[in-house]
Amino acid sequence: MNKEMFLEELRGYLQVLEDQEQDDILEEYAQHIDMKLLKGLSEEEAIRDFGPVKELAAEILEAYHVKPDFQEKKAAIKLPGLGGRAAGSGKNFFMRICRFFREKLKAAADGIKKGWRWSAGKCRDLGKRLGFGKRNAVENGNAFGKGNAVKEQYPYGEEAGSPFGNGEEEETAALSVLEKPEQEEQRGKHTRGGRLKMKNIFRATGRGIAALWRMFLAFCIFWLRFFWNAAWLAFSIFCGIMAMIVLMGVGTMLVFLLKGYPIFGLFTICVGGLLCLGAMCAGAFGMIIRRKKEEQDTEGINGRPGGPSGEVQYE
Amino acid sequence: MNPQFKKGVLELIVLESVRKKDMYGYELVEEVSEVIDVNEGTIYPLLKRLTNEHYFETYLRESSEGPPRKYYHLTAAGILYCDRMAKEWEEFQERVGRFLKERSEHE
Repeated sequence: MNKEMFLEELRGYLQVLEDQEQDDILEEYAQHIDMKLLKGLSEEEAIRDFGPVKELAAEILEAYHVKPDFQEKKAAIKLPGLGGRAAGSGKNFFMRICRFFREKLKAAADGIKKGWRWSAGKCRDLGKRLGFGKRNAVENGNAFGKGNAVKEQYPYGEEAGSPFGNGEEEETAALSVLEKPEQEEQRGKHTRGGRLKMKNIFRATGRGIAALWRMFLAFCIFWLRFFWNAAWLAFSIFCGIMAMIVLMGVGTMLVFLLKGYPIFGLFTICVGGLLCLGAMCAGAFGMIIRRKKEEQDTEGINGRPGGPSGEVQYE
Repeated sequence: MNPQFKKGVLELIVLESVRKKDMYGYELVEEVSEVIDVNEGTIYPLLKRLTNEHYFETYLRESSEGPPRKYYHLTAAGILYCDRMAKEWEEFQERVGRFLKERSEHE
């Protein structure tokens, strides 16, 4: 860790203090490190002498009688405000969707790339075999380093499973059904070596496609829900405006009624209309709020609002 | 040495050091390090706390090399506090010493 990183990290822990205090403290540590440098120590050594940054920050905060773990606790119990969830939940949600999109797209691209490289390598091999015969091909491959193309695929293929993490087992299970026909086909052609590579490549590609599809679904559901909410909101506002107009009518009628005009029937209709519109407005608005709540609940349980598993429960 | 021992005594050493003459952070760290082996990072929080409690006041003074340094000066309240702590320490170590001595004489 160098000086800049150390100071930045420390500042991160001291966010609860006033800016001026933060600067004051960091200035002191920066000077200390500079002095150490003058004495001939390296930045690394000087910083190592401070021990863990977090403990250091805790001690500094103690000097202000601030609970050192306040910010973490606040985040953990989701208090509103800085670091809490309520503050930027909309933004968070959007960013999470973006990240999800990016990751899955990358996975799909990786899969396709692997497939392409592998097939290119195979084609080259096949060409060599047809053109120069088996022995020639091997020699050629060694001479020009082309044989490496095949070798390279191995570590690449082996790796394919790991970057996708653990939670994908059910996906692979579903995919293996999808893979099988293609695998069967390929098995006839390449009996040795190719099978493992084939499997990994298909798995990677399939995974990418499945992820894309899932993402597409999540995207659809997001917009569907958005329009659904928007429709209810629009309806609610419309009803509200109508109710206001009718309320005006009721007032007018009441005045006329009190003056002795025979419009009791009309007045009753207006009151009825007002109640009806008011109820509809409240109902439509209630719909939105209820859905929002559900969203938050499921988000809390699943921890990923964009994922389809959350939607299935109530869509 | 037991870190718990150090923690209590560190404050006294820092106070006594500054009492002799005003010092800046790094100077103080070096002075304290000569007496007890202590994590250098922990002295700054201590200085901060003693400043917040008005036992120290700080001022900037230009230095021949580098940026101006922040000097710590013991206030009147600091002197009283320092005296009290020194007295407490004397009493404390005397008692502990006596206790340990009696123990060894018994055996």
